[in-house]
Amino acid sequence: MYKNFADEQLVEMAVSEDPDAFGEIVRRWERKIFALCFGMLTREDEARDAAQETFIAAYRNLSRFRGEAKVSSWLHRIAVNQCLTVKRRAKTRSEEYIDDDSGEGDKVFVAPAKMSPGNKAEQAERLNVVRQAVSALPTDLRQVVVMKEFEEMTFQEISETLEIPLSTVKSRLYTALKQLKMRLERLPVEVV
Amino acid sequence: MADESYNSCGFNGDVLSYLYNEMSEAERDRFESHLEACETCVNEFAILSDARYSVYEWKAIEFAPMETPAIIIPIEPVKASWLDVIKTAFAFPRGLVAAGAGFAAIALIVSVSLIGFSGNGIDDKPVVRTIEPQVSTMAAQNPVSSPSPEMSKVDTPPSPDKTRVEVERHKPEIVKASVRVPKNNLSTTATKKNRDSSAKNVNAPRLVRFDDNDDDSLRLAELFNDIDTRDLDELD
Repeated sequence: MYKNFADEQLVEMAVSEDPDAFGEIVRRWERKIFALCFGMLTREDEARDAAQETFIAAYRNLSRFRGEAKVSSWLHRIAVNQCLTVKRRAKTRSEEYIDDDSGEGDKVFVAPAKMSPGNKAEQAERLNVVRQAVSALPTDLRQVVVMKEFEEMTFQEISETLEIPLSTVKSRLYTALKQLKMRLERLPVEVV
Repeated sequence: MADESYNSCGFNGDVLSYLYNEMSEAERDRFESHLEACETCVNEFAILSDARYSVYEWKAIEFAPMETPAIIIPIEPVKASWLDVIKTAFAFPRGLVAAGAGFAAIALIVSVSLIGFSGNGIDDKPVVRTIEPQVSTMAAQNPVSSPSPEMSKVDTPPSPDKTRVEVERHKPEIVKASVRVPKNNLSTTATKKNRDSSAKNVNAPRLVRFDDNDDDSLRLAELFNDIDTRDLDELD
């Protein structure tokens, strides 16, 4: 029903007390906001909480959205602020309690336990798209992506291994992620 | 590939470093402060985060459950040939060979050293030393029995230990003797006509050809015979 509406139209509809319109916004952006939060917080549980808080804050502030910026930018801004708040809070806690258990070791992806058959199908389709998108990358770009994501090497290690400057490593990875993003946009898959 | 300019703000490249957590704490704080105000970096970070999470999710779901394959490489033991067996049987351990070589080297050094030390005191050439270096003095004291100064010739070598003095005398009977002095390892050759006093200090051989064991009674008998004959002649 709401698939043919733009994001800005959905916001206007939500402001007009149509909660389902805002639900469509959440369905469209939930995964991307979660990815942003995960990129900033590096912990899945915190990222999910931060993503949820982002949409709650957006819903509460729907009336403040003026339409001057894109809804995506508006949501990104709210998510970034939410993540920064979480980080500041965590930093304060770690100063109070030295034996804070936060760390890189907790960066473990856990797939949602309860997934509907439709969601599983979507996920399988999305993974297939990612696989094809990575395979379609030029060799030099794919090489950097694999070394970074699968081998979990640092930029410096990749630079020394491939014997290329550090800036070239970052440039290749940046270009690879941009191309992946473009290829993934062709298949609008929404997440759980 | 040329480096790309990520965005217009001055935090080019920091978005990736922040996304992959390759920043120091101070750099992270600085970039987060920038992120609060820079809309471009926020959107850039959102795009890269989404792409990265897709790859991350793909890896986590499809590759993480996969077990690491156990790689087994069957290696058949190589059968040793009969020549290798013989070589192994007669092969010495390396340590033993090294110890033997070291011992041989030490023995060689010791042997060379001993030969060198002994060579300093022994000279294969016989050193001739005059038995009587005071010949000239004795000749002056006893001019009758000593030869004349013109008849005596003394050669003095540069080294006092190796002295050769040749004494030539105009006598028909010359006795030559070689004497070895044990302490100084010197050989002495003496040329004398008869027993000389200066030769008493040396264990010289006999200077006459008469042997003590010779029986000289016959000559005495002949002498008596001559005397008896002469007496008879006188009586006659």
